[in-house]
Amino acid sequence: MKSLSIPKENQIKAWYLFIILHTMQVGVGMAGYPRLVFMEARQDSWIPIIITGLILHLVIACMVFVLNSFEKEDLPGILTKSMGKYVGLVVSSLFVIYFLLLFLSVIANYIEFVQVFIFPQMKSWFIGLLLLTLVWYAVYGGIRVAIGSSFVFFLSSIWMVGLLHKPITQIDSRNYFPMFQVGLDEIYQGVLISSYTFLGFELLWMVYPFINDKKRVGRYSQFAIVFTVAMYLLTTMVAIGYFSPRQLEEKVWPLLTLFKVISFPMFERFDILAVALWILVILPNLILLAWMVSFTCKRVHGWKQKYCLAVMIIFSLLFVSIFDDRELVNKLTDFTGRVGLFLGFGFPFVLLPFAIRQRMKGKKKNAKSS
Amino acid sequence: MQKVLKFILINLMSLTLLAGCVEKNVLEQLGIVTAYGFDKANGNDMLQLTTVLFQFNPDITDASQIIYSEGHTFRELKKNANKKSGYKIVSRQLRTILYGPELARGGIFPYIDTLERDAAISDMVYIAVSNQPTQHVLSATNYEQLPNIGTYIQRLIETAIEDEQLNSNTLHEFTRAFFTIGQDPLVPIIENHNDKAQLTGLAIFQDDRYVDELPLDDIFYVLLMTKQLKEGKVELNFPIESFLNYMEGYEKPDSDQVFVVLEKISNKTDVKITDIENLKYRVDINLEGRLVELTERIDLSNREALDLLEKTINKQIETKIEELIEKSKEANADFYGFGKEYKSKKEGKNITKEQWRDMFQDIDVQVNVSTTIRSYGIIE
Amino acid sequence: MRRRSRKKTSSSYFPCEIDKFATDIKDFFQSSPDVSSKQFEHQGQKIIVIFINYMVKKENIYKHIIHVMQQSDEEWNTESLMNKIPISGGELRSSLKEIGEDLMMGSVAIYIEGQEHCITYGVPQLEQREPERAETESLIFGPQIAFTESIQTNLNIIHWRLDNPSLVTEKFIVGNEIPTEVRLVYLKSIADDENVKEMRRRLNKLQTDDVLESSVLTQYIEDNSYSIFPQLYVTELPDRFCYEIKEGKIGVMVDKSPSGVIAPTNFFSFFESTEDLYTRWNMGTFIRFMRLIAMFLSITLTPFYVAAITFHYEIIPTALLVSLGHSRSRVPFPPLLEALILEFLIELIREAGARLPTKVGQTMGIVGGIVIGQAIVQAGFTSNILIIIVALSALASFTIPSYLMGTAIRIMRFPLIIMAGLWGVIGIFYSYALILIHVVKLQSLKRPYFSPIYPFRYKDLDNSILRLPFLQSNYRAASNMPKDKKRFEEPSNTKKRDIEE
Repeated sequence: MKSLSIPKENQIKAWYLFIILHTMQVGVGMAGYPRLVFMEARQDSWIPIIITGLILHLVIACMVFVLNSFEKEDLPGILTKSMGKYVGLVVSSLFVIYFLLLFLSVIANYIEFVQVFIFPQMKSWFIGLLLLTLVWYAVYGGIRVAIGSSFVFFLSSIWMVGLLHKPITQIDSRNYFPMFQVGLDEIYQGVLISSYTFLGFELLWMVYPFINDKKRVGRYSQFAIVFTVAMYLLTTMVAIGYFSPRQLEEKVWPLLTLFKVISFPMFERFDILAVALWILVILPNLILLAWMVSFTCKRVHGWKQKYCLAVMIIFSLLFVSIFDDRELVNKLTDFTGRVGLFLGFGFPFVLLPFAIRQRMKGKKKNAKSS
Repeated sequence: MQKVLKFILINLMSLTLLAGCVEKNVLEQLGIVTAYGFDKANGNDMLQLTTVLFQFNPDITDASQIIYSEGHTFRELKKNANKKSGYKIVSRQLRTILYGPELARGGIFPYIDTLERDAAISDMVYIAVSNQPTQHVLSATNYEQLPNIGTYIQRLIETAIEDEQLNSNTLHEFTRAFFTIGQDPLVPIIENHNDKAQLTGLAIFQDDRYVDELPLDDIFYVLLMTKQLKEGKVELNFPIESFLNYMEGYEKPDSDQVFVVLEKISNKTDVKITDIENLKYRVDINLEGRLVELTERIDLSNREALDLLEKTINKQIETKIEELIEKSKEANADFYGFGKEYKSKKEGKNITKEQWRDMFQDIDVQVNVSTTIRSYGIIE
Repeated sequence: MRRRSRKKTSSSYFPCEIDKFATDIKDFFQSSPDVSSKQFEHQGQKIIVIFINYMVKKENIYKHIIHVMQQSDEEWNTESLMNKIPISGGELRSSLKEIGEDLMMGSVAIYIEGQEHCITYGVPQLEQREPERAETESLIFGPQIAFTESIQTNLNIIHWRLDNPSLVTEKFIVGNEIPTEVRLVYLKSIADDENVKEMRRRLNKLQTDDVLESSVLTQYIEDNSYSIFPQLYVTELPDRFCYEIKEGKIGVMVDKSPSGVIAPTNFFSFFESTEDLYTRWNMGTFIRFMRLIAMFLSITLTPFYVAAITFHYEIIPTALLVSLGHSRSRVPFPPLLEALILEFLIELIREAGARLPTKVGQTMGIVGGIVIGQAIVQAGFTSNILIIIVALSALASFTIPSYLMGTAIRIMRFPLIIMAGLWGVIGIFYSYALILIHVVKLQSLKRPYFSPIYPFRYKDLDNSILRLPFLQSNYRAASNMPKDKKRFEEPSNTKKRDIEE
């Protein structure tokens, strides 16, 4: 496999990583996450979130270390370099499938939002079609448009955090006490649940060669994690304070229910708008994932990226129109999470020895040449 | 680019063809519900639903309509209501839900659950009960300048809440209190007097059952302990005797009672468990307010008189709060939320609702109030 | 004239008989009655002077050519003629076609029998108007002068405003059938070479019969001709044109067109006006924000009305619900159709007002706005709240300084309304997402169109979305890639002083 050489106008600055890694991690999962983690760790949910955050920092550090040791390579490049052509091909293909699974679970979950909150009669395939046309249009413009639109969508949806101030005024602080009641087992379960939700940082594997100033990659990706953890912490804590424990256990999407108390003078019910606006929250996920799938396919198999994209979109459309019941969506999400636990969290550590070997080689070469 | 154009064209065409796939709710074809009233029907296992709704019509200026329907479940009630209207009845603009007395005494949660489950219904719907059949309350025809009785009741409740004369009790807050172990809801009572709906009291709920009633004015003592007031208002009275020394010379007391009105009361309240095993609570309330009315001319420029006045007020408020706690124990409904405080301090195993009900009878609350009168108008 | 000079004639037409020459020229112009020729004999030489009546300044010909030739008693030949005649720009021509073309452009041809060449002098008389007040981009405050149709005048204005030795005006001829002079204007010391190269490439590559106007030229050379958004700024204001050039952009002037083209342009430049610079910075910033909000409102209000009435009645506040319901119940159409009819009506009024002469146009506005508006509500054609909304969004779209962008925004409303009518808020946000992706995707002269939002350039927010005090904004926008980033050195006494010092 050839190393990538990226033309200058397609390179991006490292600080965009801060935004795009964050937007990748925040998406549909966020709406239901407070409940899931609360069911495990109760009022001490902040403990597993912070622990997950710390683990994530470690994972990111490891990823950056691996990427730095191979210099201008992305994931498929690293895999073939370190594991040989055939193993690399298989593992990269695994990653493609995993990205695709993530992509599908995002779409399927969003379709459910729309059907529950706004249009119960809207057909799944139709919502899928709407989303996929956008994805197609954005990814067709290449990495510049994929990252650019993710960035713009982030800017146009991040203000929703400010709206949480209304539910915050209704928080009952006694819901957070007594602290430290949670056992190790619950914390473990909580961390597991959180890890599913925090997936998406795998983008770094693919986007690394496109980055202009590679020295700052580590810094900004760590910032992104801090930001994400803060965001999840905020929403979870608001949800815990706002709902009574039993209530929270019953709400499937606590975050969207939080928006139900917000009303503007010209806008009586914000939750309707929030669900529609959520399209801007999930689109970065979809666009970047679609780009990852199509680009990895291109890298691994040498197929044309536009054909990969077209095939993927048609496949996804078929998938969401055929499998649209809730059970299945949940199963898909869980399964993706479990796969992600290994491929996302575990895999960087698998690559670690190879990276060290690569570094040694580099040093030897340097020693020889000098 | 040709390809792109073709793709967009095909897409556009197919999208337009599929336009019919979403259900439409065109405003003027809807009967928009603003209030529901639930009652037990004559058959007793049947329910009666009073639906207050808007129906828009170019000629009639009054858009309000009331429909009565009977049935067993909420869906059935709605379906039956729809049979009596040419408009499609929809409830996403619902503002208030009223429960009749028999229903409220029997427990209202089954009728709340169905609303709570529905994403379409706002969380900001106000829950209220009535001692009269809701049918009677909602058919009151005097609702001031507002478009219908549903919005009128909403406004009635909202103004009272803003004025800190009522605790907020939305659908969300009711279910929250209902689900919380160690707290019970307190629900406004709305009745029809002289063809006008008005707030008449507060219903003490034990879980979802209406068990007792408080006079509306007592809400101050509830809010004083549970909320941060800014605009509180209270009227107190006490015997004049102890103030006789401080009366201004030329005055003679008109009666043997003095009435004092404090306004703009702000408070700082601290509810603490001092002894978790013996359920001993200590409540410290610091309140500040402006004296706006005093029926006798007591010389307030005298420091001693002021101190005495403040002390008397403290005493008054303390006894009142203690009375209310007694009352809540009688009803066995913890609307102050002492149980919640207990639960947030008690480590280890969680208690259940029933356990708390038993323990609640044994709690011992010591109330300390300290009042500061910040100003007494433009005269002294 | 590059293209023409490259064409080499195979064999020389001259020398020839004077009479033959005269008839040949007549034939060349299809015996046009406008070709006048004067033959005379001087010192035994036969001389002919030919020109087209209305294309030349006749007094120049009589005074500086015929008079000079007849007064002197020397024998004329081509060289001495070239030296003696006090008009610059004489050309030696040896083919009939060349002479014909010169005549068409306002030259006079002089031929002395027996000579090898014919001489042409350009003494064109071009009908042109004086520079006048700007009409389409009118300003309240600041310079009022606007470009005219004559490129000579326009270049004169530009040179006068940009008194800088590094000002370059490269000349191109575009158009196969009707060749038109196009000038590429930039400041060599500031403008980015890549931009200049790209623009040069596009102008050279352009193959068309005729560029009608500079806004037509932009449509030939812009990056994405399928987009609804204009990607190059067309302005009729010399101050705007020169300001942008000074900021490191490059400009294109087209002969016969009263406006200049500025490139590269980003989305937000269409919401700027030079007036923001002339007013104080706080007003400037406020007005810029207002325009952006107006743009947003103009594509938001009607779609949301349609979505709310058709699907999401729950988002309407109670206070509005009753009055909306009442006025809607009179309307026989579905909300989508209602909104489309009214939007269409407003567009009709606007178009009718624009096409009619100014005096009638005003009446048009009154008739359309008041009479029809009143009648339409009373007849129960639309609800009165929709009238407010549509009028507001139309008004909002007119605040955009660039006419092209204003039109784009207004047209964009129609698909948005349709989407809202079909799928409610989902349709609206789908469209917004599509527009955002599209805008991010667009490029202007290969530079990102949505800068400074993406790629995000913090410093460029000044002078595109904000407008800071001038002393604070001493950098040129990095989006233009200027060679020299600094406009001026930072003022030195910026140290904060204590209260009493």
